[in-house]
Amino acid sequence: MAHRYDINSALLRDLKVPLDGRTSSSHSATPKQHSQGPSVSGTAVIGVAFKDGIVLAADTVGSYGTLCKIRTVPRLLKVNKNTVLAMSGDYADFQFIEQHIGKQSIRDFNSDDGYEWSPKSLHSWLTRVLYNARSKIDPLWNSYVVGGYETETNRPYLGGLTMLGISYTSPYVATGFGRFIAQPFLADQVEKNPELDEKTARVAAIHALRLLYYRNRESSNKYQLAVVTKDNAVVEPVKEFETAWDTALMIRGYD
Amino acid sequence: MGDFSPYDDNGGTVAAIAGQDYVLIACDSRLSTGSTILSRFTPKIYPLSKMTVFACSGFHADVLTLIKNLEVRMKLFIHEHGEEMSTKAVMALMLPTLYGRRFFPFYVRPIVAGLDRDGKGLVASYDPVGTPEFFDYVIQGSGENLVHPFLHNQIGAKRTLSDVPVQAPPGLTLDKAVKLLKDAFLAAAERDVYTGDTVTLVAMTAKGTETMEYQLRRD
Repeated sequence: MAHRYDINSALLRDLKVPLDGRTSSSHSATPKQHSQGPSVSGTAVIGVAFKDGIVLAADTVGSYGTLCKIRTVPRLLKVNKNTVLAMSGDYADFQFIEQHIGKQSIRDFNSDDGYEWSPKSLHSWLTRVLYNARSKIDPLWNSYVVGGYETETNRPYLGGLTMLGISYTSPYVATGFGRFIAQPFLADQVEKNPELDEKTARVAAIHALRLLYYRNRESSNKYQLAVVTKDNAVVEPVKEFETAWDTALMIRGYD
Repeated sequence: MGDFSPYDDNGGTVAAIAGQDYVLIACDSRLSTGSTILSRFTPKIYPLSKMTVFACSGFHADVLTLIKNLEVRMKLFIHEHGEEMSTKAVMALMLPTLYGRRFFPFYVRPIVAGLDRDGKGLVASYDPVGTPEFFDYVIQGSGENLVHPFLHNQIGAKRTLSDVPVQAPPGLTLDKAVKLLKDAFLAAAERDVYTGDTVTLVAMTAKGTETMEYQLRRD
């Protein structure tokens, strides 16, 4: 079954390439394969649905193994006034998807029939793209959170998607490391208050990122939020959240 | 490198009982990967038509793809024949659909359940490459090994030493079947970490379809 992907081995693989450009696998039985692991990647993203919309949140780091290679890179994409997308995993693969979505959006606009992406249709389409890539054993190394406002049902839409094409909907979603740390916190928030309003959802989303920042060395406190309500999607400018490290001194072995 | 696997196991349990004048299908709503939960709100039952439902555990991406294939085939059938596919026809369609991927299989454990034209319950289960099996009751997925003996004992009256009257399907009422499957999922959720959150039961009779939902353990 599926093996856990070890990001450190990706870095080691790259370091093993000699400076003259010849790959170390040139004398092994199998040729060097590309697209078999992420290089510059984004860590966890999260999504929370509230009464009349959704919030997506992501920090802005592009990591190269354990190296913080890019400190400010946007990981949220506004697709249209109803639909936003949050990525984690390989950034180049995300840029490929971004171009793909851009082209399709232009084609839809040119058709002039009023049709455009809805969060549900984008989720469904992305699922097919990732599933087809995995079926060719040439996966796009991304997990996504798709969110927005579904005008057909007049309800917020929030869904998750993994690199193998596993897609699902849920009132709260987190990818990668966020499944361990952010998801339990968000579940608690949503259960305590099933009719979240926008303000509470934003606070919960930022706090989920904060919890991740405390335990995930790949993350940072620079973040972006995307908020979608009926006919209005906003990807907000990069901000920083406050952190408190005084309790860390109570952890044995911290210093 | 080269450790990419195109498969995953997302767990979950599905079950069905075929009665004389009903069919009952049940599933849980947990979607897991490894030791983590992806979603607590993803039931594994998919309605295909008025007469037929599909329930499936295994690799969720393959489940979604299989469902999409079936939906297309069923729509084409309506355009070609002017009526919905019968439950038996859907059951027959499953074999070539799954066996067509014999050398890159859908990693799925499907159940097709529904009513025939006389309103009698039908249940078919399949292995990932399409081998069909027709039973009065069936359970598939991560809770299968835990709960199958319970169903054998209570419904099939197998491996029982007591003189408790047999609840064989001809005499098994829908109410009793609902209670049995509810208990089966409660038990599965106690011990199987991939089964939990909610159990959804779909009862189908000639009169219509009723959906019931009950909470399971969420740990």
